Amino acid sequence: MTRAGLTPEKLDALQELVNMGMGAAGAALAQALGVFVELAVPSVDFTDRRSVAGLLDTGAWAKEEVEAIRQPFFGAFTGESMMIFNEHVQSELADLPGYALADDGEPTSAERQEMLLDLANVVIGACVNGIAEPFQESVSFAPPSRLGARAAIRAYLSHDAVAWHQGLIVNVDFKLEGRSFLSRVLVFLPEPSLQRIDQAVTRLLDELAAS
Amino acid sequence: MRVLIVDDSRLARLMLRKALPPELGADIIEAADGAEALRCIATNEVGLMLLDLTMPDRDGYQVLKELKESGRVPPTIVVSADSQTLAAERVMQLGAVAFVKKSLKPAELSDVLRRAGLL
Repeated sequence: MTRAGLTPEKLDALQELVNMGMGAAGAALAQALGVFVELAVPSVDFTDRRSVAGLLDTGAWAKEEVEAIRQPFFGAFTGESMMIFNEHVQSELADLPGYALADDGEPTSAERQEMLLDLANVVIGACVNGIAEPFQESVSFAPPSRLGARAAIRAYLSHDAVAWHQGLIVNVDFKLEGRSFLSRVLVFLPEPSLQRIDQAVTRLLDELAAS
Repeated sequence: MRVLIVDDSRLARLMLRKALPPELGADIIEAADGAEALRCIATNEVGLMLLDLTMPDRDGYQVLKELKESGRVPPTIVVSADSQTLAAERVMQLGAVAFVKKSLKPAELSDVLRRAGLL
């Protein structure tokens, strides 16, 4: 057993379910924006929340200004999700086919924020539901809200009032083909949810073995 | 028929093994990434490849592209969670015979094999 209580076999199964959720989220993103979305292999790791901010200090994210939307979810699995956008999103979003404004004008700051909230709502919903649906479980979502830039993300994750301290983190990157637009979805599944996930994955693997 | 299942997930490979109809008489080999898939094809007569798209060390697109360039694309069904219409169009252009959306119950595989003339 790992620290998360999930064997490597169960982690592999969960990662595959995340992969299916990511595929649904990528399709939702592509449909919303009218462009092809490049998907990367998602990762599933056990971590503590203070380490999560470090995920934005590597690779293409290290030098980017970021903007984050957070959205908690409840039900069969309770957790927290975050969609993070790089700095090019603000300049590129309004030019994308799916988000062109009717009057061809420049979007206001409020309109840009609304676009990001809409987008996060669609993508996070597809991603989290993609994880829950194979277990025949349902999840409800709080409205998405703006968390802010890198400093705000760090402050949030460092805050002792945050309801979770460690758990599984699902990390999925989306890139728009031919553009600088980059986004990352982080789904946090805290320890209380892990037992339920463990049971659900066990059931799934047992059914598969019996089929 | 020798069938190559290419997916980085052990669960996905197991599901595909179980989804293959017995009448196919499949002699199954597996690869966990694109590079391993190319090595398998170089050393085996593959009659059918079930190929994932999102993988480490050469994704499914790269595998198909390299095989197409060398003129050795085996009959390939792409089985992917990426359900973008463009993804399906692109793999067909690269020589795949069918595109199937990944699910936990890939029961439609028999139908796809029949439509592709492989069953």
